[in-house]
Amino acid sequence: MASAERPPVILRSLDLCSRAIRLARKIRSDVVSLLDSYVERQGLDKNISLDGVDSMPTAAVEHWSELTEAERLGNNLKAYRIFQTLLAEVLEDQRTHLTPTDTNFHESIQSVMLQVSALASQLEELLMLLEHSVPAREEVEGTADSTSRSMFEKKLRGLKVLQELAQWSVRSVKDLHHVTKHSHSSSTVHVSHQ
Amino acid sequence: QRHSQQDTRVQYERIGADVTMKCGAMDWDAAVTWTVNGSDIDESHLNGSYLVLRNVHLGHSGQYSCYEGSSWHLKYQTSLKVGTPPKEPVLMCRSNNYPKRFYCSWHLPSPTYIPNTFNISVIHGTREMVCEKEAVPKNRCHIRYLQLFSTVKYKVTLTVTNALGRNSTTITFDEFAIVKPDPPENVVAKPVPYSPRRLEVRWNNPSSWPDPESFPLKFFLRYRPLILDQWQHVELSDGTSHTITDAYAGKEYIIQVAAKDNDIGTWSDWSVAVHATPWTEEPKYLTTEAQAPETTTSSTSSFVPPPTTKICDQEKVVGS
Amino acid sequence: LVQSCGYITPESPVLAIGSNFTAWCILNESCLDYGNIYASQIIWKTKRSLVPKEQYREINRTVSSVTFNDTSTLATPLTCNILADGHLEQNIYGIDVRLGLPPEKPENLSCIVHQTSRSRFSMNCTWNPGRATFLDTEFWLRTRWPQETFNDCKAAVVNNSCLIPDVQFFVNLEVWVEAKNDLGMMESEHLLFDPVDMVKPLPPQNLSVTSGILPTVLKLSWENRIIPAEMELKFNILYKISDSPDWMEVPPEDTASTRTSFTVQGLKPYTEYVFLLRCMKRDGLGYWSDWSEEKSGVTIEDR
Repeated sequence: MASAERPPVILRSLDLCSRAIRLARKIRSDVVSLLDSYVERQGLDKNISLDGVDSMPTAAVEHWSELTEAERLGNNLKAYRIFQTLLAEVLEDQRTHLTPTDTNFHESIQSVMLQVSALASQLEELLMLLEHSVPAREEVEGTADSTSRSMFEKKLRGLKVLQELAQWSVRSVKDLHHVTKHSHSSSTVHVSHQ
Repeated sequence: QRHSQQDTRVQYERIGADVTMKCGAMDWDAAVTWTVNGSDIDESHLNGSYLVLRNVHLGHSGQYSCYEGSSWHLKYQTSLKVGTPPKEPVLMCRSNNYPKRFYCSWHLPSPTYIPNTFNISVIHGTREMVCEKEAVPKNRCHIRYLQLFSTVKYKVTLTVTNALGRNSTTITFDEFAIVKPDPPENVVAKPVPYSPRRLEVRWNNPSSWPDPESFPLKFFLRYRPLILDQWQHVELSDGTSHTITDAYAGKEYIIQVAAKDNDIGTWSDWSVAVHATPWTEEPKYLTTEAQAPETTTSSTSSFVPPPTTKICDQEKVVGS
Repeated sequence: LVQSCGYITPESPVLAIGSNFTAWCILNESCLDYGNIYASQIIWKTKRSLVPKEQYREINRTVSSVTFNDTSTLATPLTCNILADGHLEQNIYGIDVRLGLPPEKPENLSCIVHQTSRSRFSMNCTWNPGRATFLDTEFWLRTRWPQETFNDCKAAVVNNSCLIPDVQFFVNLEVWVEAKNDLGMMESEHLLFDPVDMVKPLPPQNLSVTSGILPTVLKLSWENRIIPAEMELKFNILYKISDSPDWMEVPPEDTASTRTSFTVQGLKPYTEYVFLLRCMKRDGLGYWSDWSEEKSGVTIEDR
């Protein structure tokens, strides 16, 4: 079906979805390489158990295929908002305590932070475009007592943040593909009803 | 007349073991006759009324019977099965229809020659998951994903037991690591008319892949002329077709495709190989006058020099 | 004594060339009584030359003004002086006048994203700064996302380019230039683009040429230096017989998708060829990379 026939909102959401997918994929690629340099700089084993590290937006989800579009995008947005705060905390820990002189490393964290904030705003725009309510911004738990954590706890927490973010970026790609799939089919239905 | 009514007992012994069988409750010095699978056993294997089998091997497996010397009453019967305890089983888990299910399959590195029983446990975090056994193949079972995108590792333990021992294998893996699609299907390669160096290749997503739209696959295509051993590769991140543009004119090609989830997991095995030969011009009936001067020194007239653009007409200096 | 007897306003003005300008010299009351000096005695000078009387106006006892209809000829400094006792010229006050032009609207803003390493990209934007302003004029390259404004980039002295060290892809970036001096501020058009569409990638590397078993064929292999997650590529391959000036091109439609090898055919047997290779984003958005290093290979003999 020629794109000209599709309603502009659908076209705009498809374009936004496609861009968000590529951004999420780029985030994943950057986070995966950031994870490698993170464990190396913190002297951690990549497979260290992080079960004790909580208050993190975990990507794990049940009944994924049954989520509605609003839930899908809303859950993503909430997660990336939290990740913005968590990444800022990780960057602060690295700058102040763990790798104070490693500016290149800080820049790569900052680059991921920037992309996460961009993805959050694309998700927000997408929610509005598809006429879903945008979840309100919530106070992020777990950041208030960050000063009381030990150095080792800070390292583990940073690792957990990056691992969950890598996982979330895959989920986002699949969620957005799922949204695209349904935007395609709904635009086909929409046009056929005209 | 031999009376052979007796409950059949089964006795398992390891290869290489020494086996001694008593003739039921008969004394050591009683006169008896031993048979294996109905054939008498040579006296050299007897120690009194005991049957002694040294360093048994698979050939020793069989039905052993002991008859009282005079009355030919069956005093003892056993089915001897010689085998080995199970070695550490080889266990593999894989998802070829993510995100629906994954399966685990196993085999023993070497046969035990005696019946084995397998027990599998799949733990995800604190949750034990059901592994639905399949009739065929026997050594495989399926696990339904209850949760997706989890960072919690899966822990699968397979325990194999037989009469001679037990062994087990445990593997742990991340959810994404075992995602490996089946190879692409219906691979077709065709020449492109009037294009002596092109081959058009098409294929389908593996039918086992449940949701290619939400979980798009990317593909790896390899191709080589039969006259060469070295493959050429091209990775394709979307679509299920590709046009090879640098095929040797007139040479038969072998082509295969592999698939992978665009973001996670590993590449599938290569698809079935298909063959195709690029389009070649029908040899014209050449009269002596019409013989076209050869523009290239190669032997066959159908060889078309490349449709090249003389770049120097456009750009004087290249690479400046 | 006399010099603290008054002042000129405005103080060190910046004036647009060709505009009109009026300045006022204001004498202190205290000086009037004590110094016996009056506004009527004021004479205005630009640099060392006298300003024609017609341009003066005595506002009152203490204030005299001078007006220039066209500041193009206004030299600096502009001084307010008094003829003490009728003949001795005394300076009351002086101001420096800076003449110039407000910045024009920066034009032809364009940006190119250079790949600096495997996954690092910097963006250099250039523009036409417009006419000279004769004043200190700052040019700022401003970039922002809908929800994020980035550090501004102050243009180098030449004033028509700025380098942003690290740009992100897949997010529309709004880019514009602001030119500012004491006479005003002008903004260029605002560009809105995804930096991924403005990339000049690094050229493919480790180009190698191997002869095959056919005398008319050479196979090129190389490594791309941009990851597929960022962009799909297309290629341009040039080749020539090593001692010939004529380059030939593999038809672009034959190299229009991501790959790491290509078999060039239709070559002359037992001949040395030289190859060049470049790449760009597959959909044609962005810029061609530089050419790779030249690599040569020899076809086998035609047995």
